[in-house]
Amino acid sequence: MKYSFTKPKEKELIDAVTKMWIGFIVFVVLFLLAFDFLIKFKIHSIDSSANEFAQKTEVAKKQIKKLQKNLIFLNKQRSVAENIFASNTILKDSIKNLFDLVPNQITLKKVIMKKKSLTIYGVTPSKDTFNFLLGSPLKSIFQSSNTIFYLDSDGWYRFVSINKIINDEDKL
Amino acid sequence: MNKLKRIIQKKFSNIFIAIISEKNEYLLTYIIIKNENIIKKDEKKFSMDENKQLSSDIIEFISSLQKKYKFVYISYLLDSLSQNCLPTCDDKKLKQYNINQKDIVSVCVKKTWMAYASKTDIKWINQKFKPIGLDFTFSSFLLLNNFATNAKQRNKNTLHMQYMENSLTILIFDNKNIVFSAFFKIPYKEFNFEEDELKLENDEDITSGIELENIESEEEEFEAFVDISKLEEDNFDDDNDILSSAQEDIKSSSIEDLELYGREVIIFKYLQSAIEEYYKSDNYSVAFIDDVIIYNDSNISNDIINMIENDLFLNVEIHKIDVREEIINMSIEEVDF
Repeated sequence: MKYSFTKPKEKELIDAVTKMWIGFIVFVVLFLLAFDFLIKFKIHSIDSSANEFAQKTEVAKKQIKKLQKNLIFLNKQRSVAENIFASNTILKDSIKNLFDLVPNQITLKKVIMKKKSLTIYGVTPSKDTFNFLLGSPLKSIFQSSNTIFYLDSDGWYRFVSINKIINDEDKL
Repeated sequence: MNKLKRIIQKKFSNIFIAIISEKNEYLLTYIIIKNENIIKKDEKKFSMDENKQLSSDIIEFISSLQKKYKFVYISYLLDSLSQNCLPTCDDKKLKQYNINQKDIVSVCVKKTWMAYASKTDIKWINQKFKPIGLDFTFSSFLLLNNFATNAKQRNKNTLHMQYMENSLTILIFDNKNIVFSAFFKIPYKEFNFEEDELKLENDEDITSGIELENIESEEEEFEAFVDISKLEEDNFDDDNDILSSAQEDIKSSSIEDLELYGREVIIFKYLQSAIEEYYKSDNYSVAFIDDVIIYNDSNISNDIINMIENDLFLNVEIHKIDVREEIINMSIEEVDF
């Protein structure tokens, strides 16, 4: 107070209603900004997780390819194994059958089994024993069956029997 | 924060309104300042209503300004008799002058003296201006002090008198401090000479001389409470000689001239009583007054100047002033604009 007995009334730059409006607008703007920030944040996090997922997908795709390759390889292996197993079984059966065929009098020294041939080395007391007891069943199994006998010093015969299956196609 | 507000405020239109009461009307001057440039200045007159309250015209006018502009400062020049000055700024010394600090509102000047007014009057004026809201209430003494400070400093002892249509304010300085102050209201009531004359004849018990209550008591020297009604009558009574000479003139002069003459007499008597009081008092560091500077806001007649020069033997200097403009300047300073 320099001169006046009274103090001036407070002059507001902005009146109460305008203040309320400004407050409201500021609040809304802040709210929207916060919302915007939240959304941006969400978008960002979703983006990053999408990226992550995309990368994972890539990795997964690569893995799938790898696994598919593996699978194909394993399938091949399996079929090979099955083949081997089947041929082994067949072989086992053939050997068993062969050994079943062989009578007690005849002793086998060496057997060479091939897919379409069977070569048997052994000793027989006589040619007839061989021919009757082993030769006839072999002949019934194989299309071609040739046996060569050698007389051994002890009077027994060593023999080599070469048996072959001849396919019709081969014949042609 | 406040500084920022001021800077922003300056960008807007600021209105400073000065209101003074004169006779039975309110005189209003207002200026509009924007960016430190005065963009408008205007004056208005509004008549008072019967109860001397603000008329609907003035309320309407100012309300329209308040609606239009954000910053409207309304200043009023206090014209109540309860105002005066004290040669101290110390509230504790008030008791010496028989004044209760709680009863007054004061403004300190240069840390040496204060202008004060009764709290009741300030409240009453605030109440009166409630419809429009009053920002500043200025003391006539501070206004006069501003004019006196602006006037050239002189070595001679000078009486400063602010002459307005409805009031007289008198200040005498000693160096920087104040040694005498007085405030008088000039009754605006139009004189009916005959009525007053009759009254004078009837009221014979009226004592002659001006009864400023405070003259009697040293403690109340500064309280120039003037009983207007008495003064009014006293003037005629006291000044019977002048009146009688006036009575002779009355036949030749018009009633208007007579009224004017009565007014001049009253003013002269006020001045005379003030000077008498000043000389009589022991308390004043009395120095002989050589000059009177009259700060004239109204139309002062040559008669009174002649009376002062011839009867009181004082040199008279007239300064033309614009009270309302000064009030506006003071309010601008108050706002720290």
